[in-house]
Amino acid sequence: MSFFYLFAVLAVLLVVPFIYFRISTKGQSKKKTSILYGVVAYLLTTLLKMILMATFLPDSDQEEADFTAQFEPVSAIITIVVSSLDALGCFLALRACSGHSEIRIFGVSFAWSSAESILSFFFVSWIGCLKPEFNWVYMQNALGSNINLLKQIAFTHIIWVLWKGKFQNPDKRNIFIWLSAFFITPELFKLSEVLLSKFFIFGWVLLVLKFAVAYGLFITSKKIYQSFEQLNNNKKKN
Amino acid sequence: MKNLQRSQLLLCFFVLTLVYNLLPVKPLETLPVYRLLHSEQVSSTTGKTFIRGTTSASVPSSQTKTYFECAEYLKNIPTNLNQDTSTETEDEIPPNNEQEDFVKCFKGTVAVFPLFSLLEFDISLFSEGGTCKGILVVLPRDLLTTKTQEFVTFQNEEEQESKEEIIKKLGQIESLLVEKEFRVPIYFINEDEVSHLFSFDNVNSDKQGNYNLKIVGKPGNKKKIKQVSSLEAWLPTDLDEEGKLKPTIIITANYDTFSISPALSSGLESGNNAVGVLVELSRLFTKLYNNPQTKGQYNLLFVLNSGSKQNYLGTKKWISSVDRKVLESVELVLCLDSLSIYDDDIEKSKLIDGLFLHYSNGGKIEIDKTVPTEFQSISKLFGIDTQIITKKIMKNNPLISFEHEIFYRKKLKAITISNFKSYNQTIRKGSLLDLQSGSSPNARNMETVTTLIAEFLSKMIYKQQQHQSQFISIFKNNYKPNNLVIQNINKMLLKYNRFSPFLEKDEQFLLNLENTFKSFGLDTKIESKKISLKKETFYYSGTQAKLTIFKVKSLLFEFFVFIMSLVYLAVLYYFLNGKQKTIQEIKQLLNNRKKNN
Repeated sequence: MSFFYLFAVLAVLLVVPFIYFRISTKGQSKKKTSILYGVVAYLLTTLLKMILMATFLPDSDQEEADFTAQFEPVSAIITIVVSSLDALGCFLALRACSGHSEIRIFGVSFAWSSAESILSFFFVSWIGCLKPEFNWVYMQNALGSNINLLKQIAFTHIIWVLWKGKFQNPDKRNIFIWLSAFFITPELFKLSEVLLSKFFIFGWVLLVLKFAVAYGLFITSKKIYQSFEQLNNNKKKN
Repeated sequence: MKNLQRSQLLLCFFVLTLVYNLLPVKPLETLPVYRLLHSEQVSSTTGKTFIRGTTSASVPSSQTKTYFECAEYLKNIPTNLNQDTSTETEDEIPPNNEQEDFVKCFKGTVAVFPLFSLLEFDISLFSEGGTCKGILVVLPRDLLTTKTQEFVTFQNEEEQESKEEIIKKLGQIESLLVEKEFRVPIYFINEDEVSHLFSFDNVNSDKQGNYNLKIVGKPGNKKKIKQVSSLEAWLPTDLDEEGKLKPTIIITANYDTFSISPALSSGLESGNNAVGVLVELSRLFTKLYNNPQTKGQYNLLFVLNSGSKQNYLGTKKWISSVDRKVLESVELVLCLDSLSIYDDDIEKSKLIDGLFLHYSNGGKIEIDKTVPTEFQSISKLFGIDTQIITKKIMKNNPLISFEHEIFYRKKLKAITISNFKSYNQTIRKGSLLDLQSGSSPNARNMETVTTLIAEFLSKMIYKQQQHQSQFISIFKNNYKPNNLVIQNINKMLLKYNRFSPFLEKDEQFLLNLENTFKSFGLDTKIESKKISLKKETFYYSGTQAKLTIFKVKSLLFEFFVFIMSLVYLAVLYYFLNGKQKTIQEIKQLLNNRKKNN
């Protein structure tokens, strides 16, 4: 309706990731390269995913809805397979940039989720917030993108551990890491949304649930990463 | 550098707001609304133009205000505290000076009024342009109760208002709306479509969602009645020995309606079942005539005309173009006016108010008084009270009160059967109530009325002796009137707006009626005649429009959301940074500022 709502939405959409990134990577250098590689990786990955989806995904009649999508197994499987390219994109970005592990992880995840939120929500929110009709959807999208940031950080942590861990620690922990990487694949996240919408859970309640899941994943991934780092440090000492 | 950046930013915002204004906006809802009548009449003597109804069509996107949000201005303010303030505020309308505050309350907004609230204040105060952006009148689901799920009663809740009083009030409201010129757009909308948006429960009147309404309406083109269509169904008997036509009985009814909103003129005028009764009569008599043993000695001509609300224009035109031979053979014209019942009490077989038989006396034509009395006596047998009303025709007065007067002026014997005692009863002119009257025509009573009229006609046709004890009823068993036929005709008519000036030659409902008569086996034709009048009333089209509703929030709310988002950012920063670090950073910032100053 007015610029106030627009500023509110944009603040939540853009400033929050920036705050998080700044605090997480304080006093460290080579942030810009990781951000740059993260953005480029995201753009290229998304482009490739779109081409593959357009080629292989069957036509569906359903329109794009916020939370009331219907679940179709075939298209879900195809999207799961295609979105595993996210992992590949992340991995390449992490590999390309240089610096401390935390810089690389946070830089790539911040860049990835920011690019995603700008391309998905920025322009839509800009137009939507200035409409005469007031709609909470734009604020919900902005907060959803913050939650996606959490999820992306978790995801990037796992990719890092998989990359560094695979060649060095072939034990039972790898299986657990592999499984957790699979479970936090983006498509499964969307699946959970679809399932929840079947029980008519949308809007703010869905957001809270999403946050709970994302936070849980974030904590788990951080612990995995920390335990991995500890192992690594112990080995180095030895 | 800073100045440059600022000006660039400002330019960006300016450009973007321009772009935003050009973008099409998706509204919350789009609903149909019906415009109040707009008509113009030019006086033939003075040349002055009388404008009625609403002349304005579009409502720009504006906020809404319901009646209850400003109703407090209508309460009487006591001038002297010592005086008694026990006067009932509901019954008295405050004087116009006090109502000015009420009117000012709606300035710049779209006023949303429940229908019966229009009696609580003087609507003509809104007639000037600029008083408000538009008026939206919400029609309750059931007009006869004045209370529905969403609306508050505009009556004393202890006393239950009789239907007659409600009908009277409705008539008052309708005449108020149509007799003045309004320079603000006035539209009607059905309650069902807005009940989830506006709550008219005055207890919760604070909980109004903020909405913007926008109506894109065309001012419309001038329309005058260019043509009237009449539908004739001819049921002949054999010619007499000389090869001439035997006597004829004409049975007429009118199919057109009037409503204060032409787009809502699909009702059965005053609950009028006359068209259905006429169709059913034609079916019964065709059945009788098909059997050579029961073929009557009269020709029957069933006619449906238009223009009844325009001083029976259609009938006048039709009678002037009828075959002279047929006219000469006419012995009686039976005009069916409003035949309706408002009471849904099916157990009562008695009609409310009874029927009225109107005929004219004086002049060269004298109706044999046995005709009306015969009708009266037959109606008594059916438990219906019929009153006979005679009226002299004033030749200088062009106003036709009932249809039989037209035939009377053509020197034909005619009577009108009606539910109304007087020609100028408000509801008889056509009312919004008509939209609901078709929903529950009293089944048994319509059969009774049809049987009554059929028996009356059959007495003439078959020249029965009139002895009450020996009254032989023909219309029973196989020949009993079927209410389903009447109901089906009603249902069909309710789908079409039948306001005369807007009717074309080939209207679908006329074709449907023609097919119905043809299916009975009658010789049917539709004739359209051109009309050119000296004194004309012009009506304006553009009677329906689209209402778009946007849900808006107040600016204050959005500012609050903005502040909350800043708080969210601050909390997040504090949470991520840790308590001590955040406090340190704040201290550093403050110190830096002090140093700069």
